[in-house]
Amino acid sequence: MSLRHVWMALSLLAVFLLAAGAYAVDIPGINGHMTDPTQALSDTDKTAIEDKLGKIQQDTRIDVAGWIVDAPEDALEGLGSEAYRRWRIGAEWDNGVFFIVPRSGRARLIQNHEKPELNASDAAQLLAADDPHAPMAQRIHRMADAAGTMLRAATLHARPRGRSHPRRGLAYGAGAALVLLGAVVLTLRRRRILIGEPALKVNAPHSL
Amino acid sequence: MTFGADQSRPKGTGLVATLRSDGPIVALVLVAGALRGFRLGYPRANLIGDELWYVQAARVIAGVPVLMHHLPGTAQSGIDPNSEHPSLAKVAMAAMIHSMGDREVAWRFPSVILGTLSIWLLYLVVLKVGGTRREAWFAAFILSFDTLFFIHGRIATLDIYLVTFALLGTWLYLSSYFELAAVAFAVAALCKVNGVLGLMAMSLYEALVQRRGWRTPNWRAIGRRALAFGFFVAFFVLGLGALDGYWSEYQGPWDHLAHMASFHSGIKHVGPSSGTESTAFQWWLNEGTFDYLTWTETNHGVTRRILFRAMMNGYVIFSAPLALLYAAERCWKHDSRLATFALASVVANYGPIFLAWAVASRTSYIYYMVPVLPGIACALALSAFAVPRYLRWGFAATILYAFIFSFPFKNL
Repeated sequence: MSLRHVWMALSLLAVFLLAAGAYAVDIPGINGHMTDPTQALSDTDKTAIEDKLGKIQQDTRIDVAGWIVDAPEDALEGLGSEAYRRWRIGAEWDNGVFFIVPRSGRARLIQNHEKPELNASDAAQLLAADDPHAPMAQRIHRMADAAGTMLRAATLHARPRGRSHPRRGLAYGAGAALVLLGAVVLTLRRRRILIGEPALKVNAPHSL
Repeated sequence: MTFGADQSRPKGTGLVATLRSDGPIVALVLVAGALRGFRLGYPRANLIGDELWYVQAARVIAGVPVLMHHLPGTAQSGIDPNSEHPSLAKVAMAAMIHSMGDREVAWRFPSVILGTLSIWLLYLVVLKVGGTRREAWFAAFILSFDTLFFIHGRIATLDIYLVTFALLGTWLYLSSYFELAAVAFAVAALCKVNGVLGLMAMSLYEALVQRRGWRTPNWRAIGRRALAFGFFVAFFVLGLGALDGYWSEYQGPWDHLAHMASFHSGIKHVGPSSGTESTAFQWWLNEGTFDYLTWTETNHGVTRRILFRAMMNGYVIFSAPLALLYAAERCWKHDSRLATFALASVVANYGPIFLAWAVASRTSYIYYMVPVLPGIACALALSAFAVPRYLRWGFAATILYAFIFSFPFKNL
């Protein structure tokens, strides 16, 4: 092998490394519900989204988080899964749902593989809420709203209506009202308020 | 601050006299109310202490969607799933949820109103049993700044409903509105069955006041107690029947009473206390405390922490035994109706809970002291005016210090 071949091999390796390096994305430290190292969101938007996702988490006990990333679409699944694991999404809650949102391209949804919170149909519907051409804040808000609606519906249950006995309640209630009326009448009568006479000196317990 | 030395209003008429007589208690009630309402909905979407049971029950009664936490799988909309207690307080919370939405402020607002009202009612009660305005204000001050009473005056649990209606009944009874008092005690019992202990406290108070004449019974007073008891039973049973008709599947009040008796007699704990459970002896040392809610949030590098802890104000509870001894002495000498009331209130509200724990191993929690605290506040107020002024104000300062120290939002 001549020096020229070695040089060509090294050049090719350098090109590969550079190309790989161009798409290598470090996983940053988590920063709230929505990690945004690219600064795609303004401070106001970030705060509003944090509040929204925090409220969903409190309501449903499901950790909802996201990451805005500058990476090609084919790298999203791997990056998202690694971030989900490293950031321990949902570990301290009942479950976790995680969006990885590329600056250009459609978002991906990462869930716990063993117990996904959303079924395939819901997950597809949720991702359909993402419009890759819209401003980033709008994209995140729309996905957060969709996630909130779905997760709340999945975790909140209106119970079937029980069978009460309002007629019986009315009868007892009427009895209680009569007792109250009797108490009022007796008290006022003893104090001579009802018939307009001066109140009698009542032998009150504290004056015994 | 100047108060009248006795029950009569300070000399003079008009605004100045009114301010001098009523200004201090109005100011105290306003401050207490503001503190109880401070950040009422915060932290959002968190239930504090036994709200886990009662707010969930109120949601089911109101028919709103619920997470199935702390609820039986058989829970049905419109039916109280928490049948170990009567429904009245939970129905009130459900009505608030129905009118204001499923929000923290909706569940807790009645507690703030009742918790604030209870302070004013204690003030009136102390005046009714012959306490001075200063003593009445001091008792109200202690109740305002006791940590346990404060927390229960702003969370959606049953105890503040019970205490406030029991204090209302006490005030009505001492004002000679005996039948109405019985109804108020019954309302307290429809919130939590311990409401009956308020009526027992009044009976004990009368018995202690009259004890020197026991050889010649005062039949009028005995008849009065019997009549009040009759009104209590009638209103309680009929009220329970009415609540059960609308919000339970019980066939009548007796079925529900039997269930409650069976449920509560079945809650036993033998051996060392664990978790949130504690013994009736521990409470006098402010032991058996536990966290109702610990909440931490870090946002933009700033960590905020909220801690609701089930504990009394240390200076209040540690001083209580001495104050009660002093009240017992004054009661024995027959020279203070306030002392007699304080003693009767504490014995009637603490005694049965103590016996249930000591005799039947009933599981107990520190918040069972909430109905005992008004009596303790009365005894402390009485004692505070038996010592030099600087000690009294020093005591007030320590109470404030402990209150601030355990204020849930102090780290915000």
